Amino acid sequence: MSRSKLIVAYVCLVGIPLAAVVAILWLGRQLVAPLSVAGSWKVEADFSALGSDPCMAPLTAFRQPFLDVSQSGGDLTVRLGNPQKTILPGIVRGRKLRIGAASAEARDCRDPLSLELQATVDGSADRRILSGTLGIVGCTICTAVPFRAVRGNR
Amino acid sequence: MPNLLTLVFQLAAIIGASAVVAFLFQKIGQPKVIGEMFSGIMLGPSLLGWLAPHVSATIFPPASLGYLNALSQVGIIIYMFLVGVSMNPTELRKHGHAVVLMSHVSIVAPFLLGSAFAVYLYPRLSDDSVSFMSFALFVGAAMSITAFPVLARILAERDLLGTKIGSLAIACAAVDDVTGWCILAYIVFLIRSHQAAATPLWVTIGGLALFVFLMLSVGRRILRHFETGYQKYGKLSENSLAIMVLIVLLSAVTTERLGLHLLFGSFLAGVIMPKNAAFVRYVVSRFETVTVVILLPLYFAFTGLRTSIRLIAGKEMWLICLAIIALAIAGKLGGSMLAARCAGTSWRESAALGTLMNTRGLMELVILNIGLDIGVISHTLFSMMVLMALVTTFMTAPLFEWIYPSKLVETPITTNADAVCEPV
Repeated sequence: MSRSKLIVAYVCLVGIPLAAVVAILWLGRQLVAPLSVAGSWKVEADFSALGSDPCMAPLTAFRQPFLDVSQSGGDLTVRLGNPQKTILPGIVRGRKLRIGAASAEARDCRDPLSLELQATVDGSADRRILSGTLGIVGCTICTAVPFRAVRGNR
Repeated sequence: MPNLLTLVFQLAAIIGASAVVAFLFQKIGQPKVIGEMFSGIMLGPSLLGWLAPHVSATIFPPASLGYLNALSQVGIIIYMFLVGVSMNPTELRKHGHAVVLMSHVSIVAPFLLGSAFAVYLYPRLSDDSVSFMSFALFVGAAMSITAFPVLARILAERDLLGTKIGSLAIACAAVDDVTGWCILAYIVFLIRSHQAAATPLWVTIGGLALFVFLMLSVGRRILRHFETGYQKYGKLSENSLAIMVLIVLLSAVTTERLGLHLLFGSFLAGVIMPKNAAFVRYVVSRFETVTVVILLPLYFAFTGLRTSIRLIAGKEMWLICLAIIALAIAGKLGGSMLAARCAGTSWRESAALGTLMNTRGLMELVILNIGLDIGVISHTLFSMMVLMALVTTFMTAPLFEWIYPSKLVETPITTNADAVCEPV
């Protein structure tokens, strides 16, 4: 292969694609990804406010970190801090976060699958805070209680 | 304290499964390492955890995985050292400018496709704790990698190491791997520099420059004594091997402490080792058995335990996964083939070279695990890319045989085939 051909081939096959990579990296800076909520969360709330015994029962068995969240884009998989290590799905869209199974899956107030968290995500990526309500889906007795959560290990 | 019985049971299950699956894969003409990779995936949540969750939880309780990870990391540190030992940079000079063009195109083409696809992936599979630049660079680098050791093994098994196509593939793969590791080092540095407990920038850059200088000057001189000793006595003493391991471990710890990763240090220690063919063969043989037979299956199993095909849920996710596989093949196989053709190689040989370069194997898994550890990719993307690694590695041997049947293999152009590389 002659030197001139090699240079032309190198410019076309390496130089131009490399310039395209640089352009992609430059333009891609404007892209926005979902807010990061992955990691362990310590939840602060007054669980007694949930009111009745059936609702209290599952929550008293919880240990901190209350939530262990793994994230892929806006989709979340949340492991609860209860003895059964219940797993719930969740989503984060903009600053709004929702964790909880569809109401049809929940059987009664004592079922951890009945838990539902709705929160707003605040703070920068390294000091993220959740604030919202924790309630039981489909329970006519108890009312949702406010909570605040801070992120520990990621 | 780890539950020793659990750990022993895990080792037995992993090594047993790995040996059986590797044997079966060899029966269908695949390299042993691909069977071991599949075996690891089978032991994870994708198969065992799905079919028999209680059995999986009994054999691999989450609390015990830290010990399994530690053992597998020791294995991969030694393995990366052996990969470095097997590389011989002086061989690259023999192939002239054509190999530079081919190797660079085989990196840039998949890198471009990977980073372009990252524009689509970033809002869907990443989050704001990772910058787009880190994410795109990682996806590009992960698509560009070639499994130098698996490639060397395939070529050795087909007696192609000394042929023109074999030596070209090895030379390109060596350049690809070194470049890929440099890009990865930059990404790790980029990510870790944003973390709260990060090593200061000047410490990383200054420390690395000093470390590389010391390794190339003092380290290389020390390592040369091993070669001299080997040439004098025909073997190395147990103490010499212990010192060699110590150098590898110290090198690994240094790069980790400087804010990079353990594996860069062990790889560098291997690269600066003397390249006398007999000596390289001897060093590899001394470490290979324990590393390849015992410790590497642990790494595959640990990777498998982190891989869950079930995370790829829904039509969109599967389409993304298929797109990743297609782009990885198009970029690597297509790019290498095009470059080889431009460099004057026949279409058949160009296609064969592209097929070989498309092998990702264990090196891809190593890079993906680092990406998952530093948080640049999610578990879902990790699982998709593990599938991509499996597919591209699995397709290599049959596709190569189809494109370049054994009857077309020419006589080796060099009788000193082992000087090119030593398959690990």
